Amino acid sequence: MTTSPSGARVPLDGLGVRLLDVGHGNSAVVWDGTVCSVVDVAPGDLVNEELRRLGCTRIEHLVISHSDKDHAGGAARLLLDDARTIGTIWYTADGHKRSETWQRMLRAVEFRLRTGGLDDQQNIHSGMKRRLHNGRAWLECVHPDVVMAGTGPTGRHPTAGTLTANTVSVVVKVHLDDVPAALLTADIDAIALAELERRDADLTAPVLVFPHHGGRPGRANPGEFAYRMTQLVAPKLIVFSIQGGGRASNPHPDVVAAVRRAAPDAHIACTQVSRHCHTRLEPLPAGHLSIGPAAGRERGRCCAGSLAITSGADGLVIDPPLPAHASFVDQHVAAPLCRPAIVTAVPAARDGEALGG
Amino acid sequence: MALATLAPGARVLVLDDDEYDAEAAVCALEDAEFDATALSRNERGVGVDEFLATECAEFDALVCDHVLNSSAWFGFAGAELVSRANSRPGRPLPAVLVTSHRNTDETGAISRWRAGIPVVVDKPDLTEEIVPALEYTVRELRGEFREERRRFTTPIEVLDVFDGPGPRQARVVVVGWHLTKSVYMPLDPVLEATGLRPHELRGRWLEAKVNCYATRADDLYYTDIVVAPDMPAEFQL
Repeated sequence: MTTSPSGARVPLDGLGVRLLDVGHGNSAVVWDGTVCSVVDVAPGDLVNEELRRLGCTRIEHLVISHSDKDHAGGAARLLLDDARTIGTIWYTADGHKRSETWQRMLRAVEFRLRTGGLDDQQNIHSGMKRRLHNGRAWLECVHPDVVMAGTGPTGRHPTAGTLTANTVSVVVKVHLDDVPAALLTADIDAIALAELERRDADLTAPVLVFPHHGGRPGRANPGEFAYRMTQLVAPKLIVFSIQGGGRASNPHPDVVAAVRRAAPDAHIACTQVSRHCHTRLEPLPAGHLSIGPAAGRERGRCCAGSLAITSGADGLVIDPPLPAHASFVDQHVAAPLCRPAIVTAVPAARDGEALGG
Repeated sequence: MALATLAPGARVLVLDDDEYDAEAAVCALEDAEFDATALSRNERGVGVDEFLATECAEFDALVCDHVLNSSAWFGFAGAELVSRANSRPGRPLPAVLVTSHRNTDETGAISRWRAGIPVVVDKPDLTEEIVPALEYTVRELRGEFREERRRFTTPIEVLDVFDGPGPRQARVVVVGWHLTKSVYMPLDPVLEATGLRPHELRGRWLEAKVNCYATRADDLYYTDIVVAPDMPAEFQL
């Protein structure tokens, strides 16, 4: 992996994936020229804005990892918007959590299928023979397997027991020019990770979008989960997609510490500045950010903001350049979890701290 | 008919039963080199259509307050006049609505006509916003919709119906706008479009074109309203 040495901005045409700063939530746009696919749509206008910027009039694949608002809250609007046609919407049988909401989502799917703006809807799982092609990019479903995808959240999985919506959330590996670029892990928990380990799934990718915004992985120890996750992916860049400001939340300090122990040379980037790192609310400078929309830009809460991973002649290129982000952190963030020397002792979890996603 | 942009010297009618507010709007428009005229009374007491055909005939644009006092012989609301002006067959008259009642019961009355009102300007912001509002209105009448006004068809779930007394409206979830937040939709256009009675609407699904990228619920507008077909069995949870 390389970063752009001059700090030059990545051109819009070409091939890449943008991890959008949507605040608390996840959204990623994969593009090859104007051919686009989307993984998760957080509430708000960011995905639409990015697609408009790219000149996209067709979404090849729209993948919804699970029904949580911070991953699917903007999906119905994107689905219904007749400014674009959509190839296939992919989701799992995750209707248990808020059935009214999911029923409305299905209304949107049915409407678009009936009126011709959507070609197909499919259940997604790791056993699919079909690759989700997007020009020279493709999406690989790594999780859940066909059984978990079929049951959805349940109390009676044959080996894992109780599965939540987070457990069965869809994990996607994005390939650019047949090279793994980013692993998008949605909100998977320790049960899902154990299942991936049991299947010996290949999770390796240069960029890891960390599960559940760096919050607790279900009932498991956050540090242990983060260490195992990071080791399995072996990333060069770990991204936490979080909301800055407000109450202290993500990423969990134990998670960041464990990530740093598991991948000491990797770069860590939060989309917005965590309250764990910086408590002052004055707007922070934005000169280091990549072009394109970012939820934290206007309020001055971006840390790395939205990140673009593009395929260049010498490998993958990250925008904003990682040295520029590191310099921003060193100059402006009071106590960054990602930057000090690696601690040898993992801090104890703080009682009563709200870390859920 | 395609509209040109409003050039300097364009004649703008400012309609406000408060003379001081009308003069403030005239000053703002004159600063922008428009030829503005204030009108604070409907002297002949004519209805909205005749008012549009006669009093507005010599003007290139209209700026109108929403609440027009009946003591000034206005028998219609500004929202209706602005909507009808912008929708005038063959020769739309670019019109901007001004109000100091955005968060009162009058919001419902404005909502009834919102499809034909590209911009609502809050009265305290009038001086700064009136010229951009007029410019955008002209663009929308030419078919250039900004994202917050662009509409597309969305399913709408009717949760409740309020058939008076008070504002006649339906509490609905507009799926393309927000999956969980309910909003109030004017009832009469739904009844007119579907032929249903108020008590038949509760629990129904509709489809309508809505500007789903609107930030505020009271900026939503609804056109092409129909009753949605039943969901196929494979989509039922």
